[in-house]
Amino acid sequence: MLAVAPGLKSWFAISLLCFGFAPWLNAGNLNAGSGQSAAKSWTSESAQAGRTWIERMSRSMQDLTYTGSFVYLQDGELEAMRIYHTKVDSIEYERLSSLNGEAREIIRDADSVVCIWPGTKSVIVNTVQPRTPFPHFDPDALDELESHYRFGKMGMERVAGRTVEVIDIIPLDGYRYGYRLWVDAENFMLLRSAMSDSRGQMVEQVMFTDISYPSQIPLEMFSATTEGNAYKWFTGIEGKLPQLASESRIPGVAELALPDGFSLMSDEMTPVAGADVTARRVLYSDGLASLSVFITDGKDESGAGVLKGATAMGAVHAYGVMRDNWHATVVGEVPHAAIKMIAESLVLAQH
Amino acid sequence: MVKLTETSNQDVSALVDDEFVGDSEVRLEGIGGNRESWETWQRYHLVRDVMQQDYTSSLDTDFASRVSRQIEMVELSDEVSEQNVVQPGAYAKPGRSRRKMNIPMLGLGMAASVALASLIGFQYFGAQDNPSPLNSQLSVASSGADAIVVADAASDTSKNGLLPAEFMDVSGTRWRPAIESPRDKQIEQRLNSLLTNHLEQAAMGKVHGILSHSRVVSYDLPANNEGN
Repeated sequence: MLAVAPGLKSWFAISLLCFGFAPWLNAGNLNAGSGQSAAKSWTSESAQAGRTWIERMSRSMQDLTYTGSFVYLQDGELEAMRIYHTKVDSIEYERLSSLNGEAREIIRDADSVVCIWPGTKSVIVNTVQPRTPFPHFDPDALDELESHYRFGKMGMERVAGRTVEVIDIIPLDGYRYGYRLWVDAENFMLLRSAMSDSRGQMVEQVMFTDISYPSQIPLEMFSATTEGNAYKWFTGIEGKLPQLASESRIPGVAELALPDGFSLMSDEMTPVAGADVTARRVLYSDGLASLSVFITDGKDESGAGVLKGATAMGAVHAYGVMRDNWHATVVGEVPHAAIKMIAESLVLAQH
Repeated sequence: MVKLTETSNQDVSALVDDEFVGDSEVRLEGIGGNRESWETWQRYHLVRDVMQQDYTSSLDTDFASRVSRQIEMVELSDEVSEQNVVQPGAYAKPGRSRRKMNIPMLGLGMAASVALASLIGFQYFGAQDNPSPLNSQLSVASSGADAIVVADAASDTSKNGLLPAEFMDVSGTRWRPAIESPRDKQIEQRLNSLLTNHLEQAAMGKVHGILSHSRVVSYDLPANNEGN
């Protein structure tokens, strides 16, 4: 059932009239009606072309200056959002705001990622990480990726008044999601995207309804307007350099069951915004999907604010487990099956 | 002005059939001065003519009446257009509903105009709270959506019947509660932190594009639902 926020009703009705939105909302199956045409696209040339489009898209999304409105659908909930993005002196700035319900927003600049939740009067600040574009895979890595996904070009369509190329990334098992990407044929901007499970059922969708490319956006637009006194700010541990994971008393991962293709990307200490704790974050990725294992001291947590068992939000799944006196939370954009398998098989190293 | 009643309908019917008992001239003057009576008079003639298979004269509607109705349609459309600009969340006044009934083809167009009026009014209302130019384009985000009242608009629409909109409460939650860990704001806050942290580290964040941050900005607990 679709829940429509107050104030969004009229906007939504107009959208339905203008875009023929309802058929798109109801078409929850990525592969519906496209089985034969999809099979024709699975050639090595289309796979390589699909990957090329994705690489260009990745770079464009980092480099372009743009602003627009888009709709976001997950768990049957429809939301409208506004985004501003620019890049100045190799630094990305981004501001994303919800247009219905509570006025949530996220602001990203050179130093931090600020997440504002007026509903809970909280602001969470995380350290920003340099974004890497979609990596250029060598042929061996591409072969490995194509062991778990199929890439293909599905043809041309039209989104937000722009001509787009449709790219499919279909998972070959139930441990990862697939993607359908609508990429601007001119500037390679991602105008629409959808995530689906291995059965082709949509789990999340995003679509721009309007987009423009101004020559510049004033950097003042990327300043948080929320007064500090009215909100509770949660930041990382101030003035404390992150400790090397190898020197930390927090144990690392000794053993866990990972889906094929996932490998260790990083293992480092990180402050957890909103709590006076430091976590050991172990990141895994298959080249497209990723997940993190956050390990904290169970005694520090005192049972408050720690997850036990599974939870989910749209395409994101999380699973919390205790291992002796340590707590581990596995979080990632992978299906529940993957998160559950990883969390329940986790064995921490002994100090 | 003579108010049309069932007795009046009988009078009109009798006059049409030339069977009226009383001062017919006075009665006819009353009918001519009353819009509903006049239309009833025309309908009865039409029915009679159809029954007698004589369509021509009665279907040739009064030119003056047609012009008058067109003028009313334009005036009503102008009034709705004015409301688009001035009144946040406004709809056509209840008194206009009678005219709407007599101009059924305007209904769909007016419903669309009114829907647009409410949308523009919604955004305009938000902009008034924060006139700062830096916030002009993010008026809803910076002013706080909880300052925008739409409850009265809902009751107005039910009165005039133009848009039978039912506003549904936002009760969206972000993280579905685990069996072992019932819904807990501390847990959700921690998960928000971990997710944001993870998204910044995810090597393939750009494949998700705007999806990744959209999750963070998606539904949160409304301020007045803290007990849920």
